[in-house]
Amino acid sequence: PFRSPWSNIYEPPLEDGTVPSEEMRNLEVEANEVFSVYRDQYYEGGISSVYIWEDEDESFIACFLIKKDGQGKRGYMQIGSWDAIHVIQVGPEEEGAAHYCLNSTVMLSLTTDNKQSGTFNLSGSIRRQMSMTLAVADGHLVNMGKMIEEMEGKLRNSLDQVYFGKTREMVCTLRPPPEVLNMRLPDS
Amino acid sequence: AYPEYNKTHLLSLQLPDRSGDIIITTYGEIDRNNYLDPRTAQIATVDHVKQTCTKLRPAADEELPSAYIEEFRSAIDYEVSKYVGEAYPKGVSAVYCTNGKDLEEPGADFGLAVVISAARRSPRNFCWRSIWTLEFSYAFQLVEIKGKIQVDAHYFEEGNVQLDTDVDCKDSTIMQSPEDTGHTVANIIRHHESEYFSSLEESYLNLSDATFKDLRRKLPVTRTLFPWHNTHAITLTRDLAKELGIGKGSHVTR
Repeated sequence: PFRSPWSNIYEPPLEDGTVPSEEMRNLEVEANEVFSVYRDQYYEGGISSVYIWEDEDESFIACFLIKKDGQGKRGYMQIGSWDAIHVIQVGPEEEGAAHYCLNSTVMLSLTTDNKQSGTFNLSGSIRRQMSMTLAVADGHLVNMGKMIEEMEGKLRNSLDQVYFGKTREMVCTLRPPPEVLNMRLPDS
Repeated sequence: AYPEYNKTHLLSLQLPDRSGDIIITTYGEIDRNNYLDPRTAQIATVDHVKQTCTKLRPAADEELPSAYIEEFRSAIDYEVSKYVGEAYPKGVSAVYCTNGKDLEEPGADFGLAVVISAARRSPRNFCWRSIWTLEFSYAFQLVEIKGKIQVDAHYFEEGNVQLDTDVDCKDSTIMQSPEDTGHTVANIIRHHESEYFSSLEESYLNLSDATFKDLRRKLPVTRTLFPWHNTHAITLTRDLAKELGIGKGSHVTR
């Protein structure tokens, strides 16, 4: 059984199922609402969930999840899927600030499949970490949200570079494109 | 496991006498540890784990095709290796007889296989492999050509990304002299492989331009970062939108 972050109820029902404290639960509710709007603005679709639970020593852990599937241009049989997992460990408040440690993973899969050009599949994941100590004046959600937004931007760029830059570069190393071959100096 | 891996990946090893490279493939397999290099007519003993050649001996007559078959095999080998040398900086190729190796004169069918392999193994792992089978039909005076091209790349800095692609091709040509067959087959292979390369480029472009960009925008439509501070205003607007039944993600129907 898992606890829905939207209703705070276990499905299927679980007696004695651990639920977060009221404070955590309120934060979780707000986080889901706000993150859903964030998701809408960047992903224009997809689904998201936020889970928050207490850790030891007045710390807590928040887990932000996004899943988005997409198609491609009309006429092309293309599938893409993006899965982001952001786990933030938030330390206890000290002198008006808290330490946030974010671990993010984005799993990206892109596929083209048709009889003529065969199968083309790019799959994998990228992982990154970011730590910051921030004032808690604006609340945890603002801090966590900004970190995630910055992280997703960086990961998106990395994915673009690695998926479409690096792997393509490797293919061109094996078999240089015609323009490169024509530029070769003749053997003397 | 190791022999299967090496055969699937068309591992190429330098021959101990430096006369060239030998490709580890089912087509040249004498037994688990011994492989034929048709070009130099030698059998190499291979250590699959260390990926080296440990011994080399000349092939016996029974292990080689007849003079008639060899005419076709070597003509195709010559033209294909010229093509491979031009197209792939680190490419190797070989042509094997797959059936009819003892045929002494025209009158029956026979088959050849062209194997092309271009790879980098370390630090990064990527390879281009193609296998072209040629079925020579005596009755129809035709050569039926089937190809399978595979390109894989594995990048694992900062994460883990794998490119997996493959395509099946078909073509045919009429029976000709060994020399003309060599030219024609090499041209057909060259044509299909460069077409495939172009289609890879196109796939990259389409996936990058359309599919990837569709997954997540660089910035919201507002062209500014998300206003985390104004979340109350956001949730309020959203609730209003829901109530009025407008906007995306609205579940209210009126």
